[in-house]
Amino acid sequence: MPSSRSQSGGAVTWISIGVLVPICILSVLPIWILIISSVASTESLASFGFQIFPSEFSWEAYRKIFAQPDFILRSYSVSIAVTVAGTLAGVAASALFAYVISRQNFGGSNFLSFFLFFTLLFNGGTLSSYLLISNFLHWKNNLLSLIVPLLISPFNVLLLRSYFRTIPLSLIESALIDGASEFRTFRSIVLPLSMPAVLTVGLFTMLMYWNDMTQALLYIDQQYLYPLQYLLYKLTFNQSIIPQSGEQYTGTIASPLALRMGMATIALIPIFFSFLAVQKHFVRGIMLGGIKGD
Amino acid sequence: MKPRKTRNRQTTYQLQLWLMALPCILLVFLFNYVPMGGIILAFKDYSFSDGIFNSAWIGFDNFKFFFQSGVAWTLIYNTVFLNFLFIVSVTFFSILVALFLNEIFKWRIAKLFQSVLFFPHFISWIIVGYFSYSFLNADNGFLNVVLGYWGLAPVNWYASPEYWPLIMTVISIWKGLGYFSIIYLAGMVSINPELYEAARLDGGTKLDEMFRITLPMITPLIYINLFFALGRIFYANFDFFNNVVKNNGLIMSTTDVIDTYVMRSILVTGDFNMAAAVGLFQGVCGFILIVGSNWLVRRMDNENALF
Repeated sequence: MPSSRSQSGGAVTWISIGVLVPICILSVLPIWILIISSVASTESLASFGFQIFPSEFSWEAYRKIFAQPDFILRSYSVSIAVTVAGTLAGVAASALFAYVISRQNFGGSNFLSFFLFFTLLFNGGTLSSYLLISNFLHWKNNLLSLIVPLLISPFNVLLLRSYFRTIPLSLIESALIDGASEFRTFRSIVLPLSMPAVLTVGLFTMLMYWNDMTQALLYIDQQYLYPLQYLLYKLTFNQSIIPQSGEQYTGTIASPLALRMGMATIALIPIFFSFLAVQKHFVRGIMLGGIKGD
Repeated sequence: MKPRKTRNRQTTYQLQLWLMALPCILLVFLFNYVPMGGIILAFKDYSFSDGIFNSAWIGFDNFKFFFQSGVAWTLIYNTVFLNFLFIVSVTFFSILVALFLNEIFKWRIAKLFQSVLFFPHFISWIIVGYFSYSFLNADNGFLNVVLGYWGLAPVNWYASPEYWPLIMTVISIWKGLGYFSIIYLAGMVSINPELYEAARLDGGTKLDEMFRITLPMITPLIYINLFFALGRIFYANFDFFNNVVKNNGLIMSTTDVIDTYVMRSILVTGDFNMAAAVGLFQGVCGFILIVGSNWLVRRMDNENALF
């Protein structure tokens, strides 16, 4: 290769790094400030505010939160239950449906595709769903209200359908000719060959359930049923959610600001580690799905 | 004898397929189609005791009231204007970042940059609300601390509506940059390398490659993403607005959008008539725009059209 290329390539490489490094630092900055402020002392926050390095550190916020960890563990278990149930059921229902509409030789496939994708065009509005779930199904303060309405996302079905269609029809037909049922063919041939797509949809679904707060805002008002995100949301309006008796154990008062940031940090940590574990699959999944809005 | 047996088998398979689709059919019917019936509420004066079916019909009064209330145009303007800002700026910066990432794609550090920028996508909007509070609160927010270092007067951000379109746009970019730059980068790395070889042989510079090959090659992808976003321009991200603005009346003039108004009508004011009318208005505008933008996508690239 001509040397001029590597030279100009070198310059562009350094320019690219020079542009991207500050962008990445700015991107991390809010996360850093949140975490570091959770260990800032009350005095430090009061007199200097949020800083990149607090002038004085204190573990008081965490001591107070963990003095009575029941309420946060409770919310964690609600979130985990909702996420696990929603992801398993959602992926199963989506994959089954996607298999059916991926079969272009099946008479109902066009109708069913339209049936699902029409919901992207028009919806009855938040009020209608609210009345259906609270007044007709009576799912207020019922975890079903957090799980069932969100099970199907047309984009996930679309992604699965496109992937299933890359599997040669002859493979499916030969299984059917050998006497396998449609379900058996789906389970033992199509599904194992489509694990990347299924995994991607599973991850999208998990993230959606874990971070969802709107459903809880609409349907949950008993604190023992708060998912983690909704607990954090309520905390911004109402500090008394954190049990006050914690002070008897520690003797000192933690800064309310540090307490809130501490709660947010505790919620952020599992997301961070899951992110490290699954981000590679996510990136592949986004490339798989091609375009889709957020 | 034989053809009949085959036909029976065919019927069995058809039946199996319908059964497999059934759970999803029921869910979509119950949670997407049944609520569509609720749009009749937009033409009724809803009262809790009479219920949906027995409440009195009042024609277009709900819409009249909404559009004469003075709130309507602010809500519509804020929704469309802010979404427009988000779409344009997120797209611009994602392409910029993707262009630079593409230049160093073979280096390990590109993966690190990508991960760092992608992480905000995983963070819930409620935690984004905590971030924005730690940056913006008037007494000890990070931005005012920084302004103090520079000897500038602190700003009461949560009482200054004029800054909020910018603030919301910055947060949008921060949250969406990683996700959308991955989409554009995926388009870039699949460009045929021979194009670059040819450019080099003709003596093209790196800048030529970026602006005359990479960018034109991903233009269809950019348009498709823009059209899809355009189709949803009447829908605001409720989680985003709810957690960052938190129903703060002082900044509502620039941040109140259709979706926050509807939720407030349901949960706070209990004004179901307005929620129904605004919801239907949003649904109809959304329908027209989504069909329109899908038509544009289909004209460009049939494969990516939804319908």
